Amino acid sequence: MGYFFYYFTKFADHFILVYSCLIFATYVILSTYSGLDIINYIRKNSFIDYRTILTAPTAPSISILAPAYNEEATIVDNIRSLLNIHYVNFEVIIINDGSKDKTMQLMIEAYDLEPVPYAFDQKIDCKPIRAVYKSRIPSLTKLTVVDKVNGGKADALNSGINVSKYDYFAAIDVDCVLEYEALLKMVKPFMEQTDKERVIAVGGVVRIANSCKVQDGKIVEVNLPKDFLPRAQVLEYIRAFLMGRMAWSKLNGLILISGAFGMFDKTIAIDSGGYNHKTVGEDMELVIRMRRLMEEQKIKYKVVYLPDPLCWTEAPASFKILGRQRNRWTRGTAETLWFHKNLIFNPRYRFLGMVSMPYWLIFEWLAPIIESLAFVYLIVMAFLGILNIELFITLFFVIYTFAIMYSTSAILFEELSYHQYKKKRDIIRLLMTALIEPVLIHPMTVYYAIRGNLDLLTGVRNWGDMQRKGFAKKKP
Amino acid sequence: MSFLQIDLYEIPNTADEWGKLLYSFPIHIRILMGVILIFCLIITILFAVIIGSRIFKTNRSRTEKYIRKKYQPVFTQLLFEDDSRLISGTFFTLFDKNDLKNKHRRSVLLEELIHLHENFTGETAVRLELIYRKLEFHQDSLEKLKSRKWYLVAKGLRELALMNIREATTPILQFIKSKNEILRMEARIALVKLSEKDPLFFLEKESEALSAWDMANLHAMLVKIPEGNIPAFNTWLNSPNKSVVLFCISMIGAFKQNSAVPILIKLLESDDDSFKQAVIKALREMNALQAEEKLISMYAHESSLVQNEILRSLETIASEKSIPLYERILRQPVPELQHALHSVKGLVTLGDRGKKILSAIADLKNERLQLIISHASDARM
Repeated sequence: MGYFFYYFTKFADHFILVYSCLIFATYVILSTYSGLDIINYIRKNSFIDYRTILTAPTAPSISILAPAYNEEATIVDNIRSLLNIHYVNFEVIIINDGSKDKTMQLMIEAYDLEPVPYAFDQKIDCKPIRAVYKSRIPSLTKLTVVDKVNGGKADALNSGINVSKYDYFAAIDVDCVLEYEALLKMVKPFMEQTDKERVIAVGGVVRIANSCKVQDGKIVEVNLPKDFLPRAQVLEYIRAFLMGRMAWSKLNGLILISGAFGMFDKTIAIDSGGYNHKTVGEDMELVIRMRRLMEEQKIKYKVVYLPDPLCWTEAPASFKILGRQRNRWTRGTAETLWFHKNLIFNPRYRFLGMVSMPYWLIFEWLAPIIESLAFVYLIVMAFLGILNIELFITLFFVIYTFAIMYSTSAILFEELSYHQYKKKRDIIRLLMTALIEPVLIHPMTVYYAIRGNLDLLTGVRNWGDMQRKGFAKKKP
Repeated sequence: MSFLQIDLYEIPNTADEWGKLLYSFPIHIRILMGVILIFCLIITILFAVIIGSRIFKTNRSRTEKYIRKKYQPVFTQLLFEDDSRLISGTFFTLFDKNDLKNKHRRSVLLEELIHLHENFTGETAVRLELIYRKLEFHQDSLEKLKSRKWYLVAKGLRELALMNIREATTPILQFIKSKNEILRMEARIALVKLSEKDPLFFLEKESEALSAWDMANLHAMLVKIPEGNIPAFNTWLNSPNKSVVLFCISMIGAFKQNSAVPILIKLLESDDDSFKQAVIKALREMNALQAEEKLISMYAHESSLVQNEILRSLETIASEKSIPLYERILRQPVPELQHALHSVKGLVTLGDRGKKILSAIADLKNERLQLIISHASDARM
């Protein structure tokens, strides 16, 4: 038993060290790669006139799909914002996913909607559609509202795909605020594709809108969130979006496009079977399935990621809501990895199978589990009186200083690229947040991830209520 | 009281004492301490860079605001008031020599001119071009073409094209075959703008595939050049480069070059569906009535996507010759949705006769067909 314990502790010590070093290394490599690519992207696009797309005969038409569930607080303003998007050929499809509040009634009243006979092919499975509405107001022909039986976000998006007219669709959270040129920027990669390589999906950076001033569905003043929790998420989002996904896109290994805003080739999405109803990580699952289809059909393709801030969303402002969100993200990741387990380390799927999927398994899904186990291990060692306190403290500071260094790099990325937070004190506040976040927010996110995994094991399938304050209420 | 073997009441005073203390730790702890130190150092450097960048940006932005404010009345005077200053010797007295010598201030002035030019046409744009030349900004732009940095070259190409510097055509030509796609595109756009005759001469030897984005940029520039300079796009319809042919078909439609309709109709014999779709779309844009019979006759043998394009075109042409085709489609047991929708819309555009046929079909007691008819008859959808 003594020998076993000795070798176990040796193994655990080395495993934790190697795993931490690998995580550090991947973060450094990915962020360096992202940085170089962002510089290239900014240079490439600095003198591009996106208005060219507005008059181009070759510009694609876009269907914007926005599922809505119990959104009575903001739905009318949100639709107005979507209808004001700067693009030429597009339709806005709002899918009321069986809301229990007055969402549908408010839409009918505000936009003078009436049910219309609407013929469509049910190319993807979805819950029954009660009615399709169009506005009586002549200037609102772009708006279509689908009223359906509740089936979740994935099901609502599938209904939207079935009803949509155009070859590309943008899936968007109805409460997001889009940048003025967001759609033009998202469309460009599709226009740049040639016969050599097909673009199957495009994602963009999602930014946090808490404390920002929103007027008529547009961000008119960008502010750093006043509250600590959303501010910590600003750092988290910059790290994830600017320092991670950009590199994955460049390596053509991106498997996650945020459900808040992404654009897809409709034919491939339909051929892949549409959104999966059986997971709460439907955004990631669809991208993997689309990629899988392309790999199996041996078609050259890519998933593009844009570093521009395209979409603004309200981040959870309380630990309760943050917990629900992270719990759901963890369950979504785990479910998706489970659905596509045969891709992991499968050379047939090239980069997707050999790098992207294993990375998500080892460094995204497993990371909080290993971190928690390491924590428990430390407590046990301390309890047994054999914890090397010197090693523990120095290791803690290595991790802590690395976390601050990584967040400071994120602030530098933001400063050198899109420079959204212009006030002098914003930088200091972000740096202060970087000092506190690793010891206050990070342990909580690890805890929520563990809860997510436990919930998954116990069969919890719900989305988790995401109460938001709404931008409209914040107007003076 | 101690922490990490350090007696807090006896904190070392000298470097030697610190060194001894450090060496009292095991090697792996010392390595980790070194790592912490390196991380702290990097954090400090990153922080300094952030602060430095912010100070630099603030100063730069302040200078830009100052220059813009300073020269706003000058530009207003030169562009909208008496233009005699433009040709007189007093022109240079309007500009501060130091501003023209300073690299950054000069580039701000150039950017301001470019920005103004993007928003003006006609006489004002010509005046801006004259100011650009008189201040010798074209030399700056030409100098950019010699840069090793591709983004500076691209900027130079754009400036020269925008400001109509025709003598730059020769240096621009070297970028038409560049491996950098942006430079290639910018060079093409510049040549379209600057070549007085045959602005699309490069299509002859174009071997790279043109993307929809490339086509959009070329189109955007073509609509800006005088109508007389627009070439006959059928010249390149035999190009071995498929994307060039698709571009030309699209431009024939966009510029309504009706003389090319017979050639387009011949292209409908192609085996390539993408050609057929592009041709049918172009014919639709030209409302080419003479293509109607061909479109109707070929319908049955085509793929669903081509059939869809045919129906959309027939809907635009709106002639009664299409009625039998529409009826045939709608009387199928299970018509394809998009085909049926276009057929109904086609019949609706034909007025009373079409509507009579539609009401006869609606009486067939086919619920789906009735839904399709109601859907397609609604102008909002």
